[in-house]
Amino acid sequence: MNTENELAFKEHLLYKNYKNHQGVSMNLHETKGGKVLFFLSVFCIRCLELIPEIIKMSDDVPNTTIFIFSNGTEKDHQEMESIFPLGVNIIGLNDEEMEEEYSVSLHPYYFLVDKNNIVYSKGNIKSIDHIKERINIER
Amino acid sequence: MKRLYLDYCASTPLHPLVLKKLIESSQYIYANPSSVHQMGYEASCLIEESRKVISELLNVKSSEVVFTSGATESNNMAIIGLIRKIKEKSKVTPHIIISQIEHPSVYNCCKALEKDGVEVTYVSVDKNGLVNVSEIEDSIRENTVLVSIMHVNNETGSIQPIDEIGELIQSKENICFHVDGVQGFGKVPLELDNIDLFTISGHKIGGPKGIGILVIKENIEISPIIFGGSQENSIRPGTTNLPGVVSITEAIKIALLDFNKRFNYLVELYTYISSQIKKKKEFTINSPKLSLSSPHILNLSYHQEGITSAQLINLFAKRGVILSSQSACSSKSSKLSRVLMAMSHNEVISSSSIRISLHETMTFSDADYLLQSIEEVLEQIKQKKRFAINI
Repeated sequence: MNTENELAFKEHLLYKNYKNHQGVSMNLHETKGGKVLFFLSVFCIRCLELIPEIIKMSDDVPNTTIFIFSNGTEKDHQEMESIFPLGVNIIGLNDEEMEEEYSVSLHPYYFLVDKNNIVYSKGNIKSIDHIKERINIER
Repeated sequence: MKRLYLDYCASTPLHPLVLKKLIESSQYIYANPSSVHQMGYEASCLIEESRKVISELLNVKSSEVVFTSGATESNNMAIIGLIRKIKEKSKVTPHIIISQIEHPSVYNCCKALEKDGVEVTYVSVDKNGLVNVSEIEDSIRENTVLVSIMHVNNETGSIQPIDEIGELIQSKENICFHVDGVQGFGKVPLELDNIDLFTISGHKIGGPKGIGILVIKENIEISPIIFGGSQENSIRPGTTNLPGVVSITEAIKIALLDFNKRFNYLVELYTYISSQIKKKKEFTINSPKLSLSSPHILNLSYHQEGITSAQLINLFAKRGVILSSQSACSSKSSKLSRVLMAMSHNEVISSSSIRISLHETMTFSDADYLLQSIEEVLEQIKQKKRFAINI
């Protein structure tokens, strides 16, 4: 377990509006239920290797919405959208934005957010199974 | 699915004969070579025997062969050790010359020394990744103490004009010439006559990880960078890695044996693969022509915008083809290859490069599989499926 990355205190999810690559507005706060935020870089091999695992994970964690923040291009996000199941949201953020808004500078990274928009776990991703375990414990 | 490993520049499998030596020495000769008893003495004799064999193969003196934990340590020892020794003797700020495309163990070492006040000049390279000897000569100052240039570049295979640089340095006073020989050793011929400090890595030539060599010519003094006992004449203290020493000795013997046959085979393989890749307009070959490049490294870029090295590596990996490139998993690490930027000044080229490294055990059937994979990857990109999980 990645305990050294777990929060010592609960922090609130950033309240911010985003637009996905299709221009559709989304506000994470308004999404009901738990959320998983993934921060991926298209320049990072480990991030790309994780994509199939994230796709599988989306079936294993119902009532949890997945958001993928990616520093890819619009073309990248169009292609990503075609392989992710419906309900997985892809939002473009460059490296500077990821760092400024979420203090994320290493990839792949995750945030787990509960239904009250409290971030209860975050860190570098060592395995998707660990993330699923944390989600199930929180439930 | 077939797995085709083509990252031999990063590491090579243990040669069977090396593995045998490694197992035997680990199993039967476990005494500390520094111990004063009979078993320790036997172990130390084996180390000295290995040192002698290596020195004869490299045409240097036994006393000039120092065993280290690997090439990174050897490079750091050469550079930092020399600078420390010079600073002990003189208050003049030393100056170092390296190329812009040196391995991180040289480049970052010099960056660290710059923070300590050492002056460093990073000479440029041309589109083939080659330094200009005149530029090195023009960069020499009164306080220049070291020129460090790698023999073969680990990303592109470019072969530097080491003989010419060595002759230049020999004509100057008080300047040492260090060569990082990691990628070139056993692949491209080189005489060490005009080289003062030379680095070899064990696991790049069929030896184990954790062992390397620094050749220090007898007229060169360096200070140690780690401190402890008196092993390796106190230049590199620490219990000598006897299995590593015995293994690298065997690896060096093998690397230099049948050199021509191996070289010629690699040239054939390289020529076959590169001639097919040249027909693909989507790829640019970054490695220079064969006369300027080692035949075991082929570097290419996808020259249309929007494809990253990581995406290419991932697509090949899904077909079992293991290649290499830069991977930026930190927003602070560069997404661009420093080496390719220095050569091409082109961000698209530098962010989409992949490195294919060949080996004498690779067959032409493997080459066909690689070429087939290239076709499939290009088709997948055309179909806008670069993230596709099923192939």
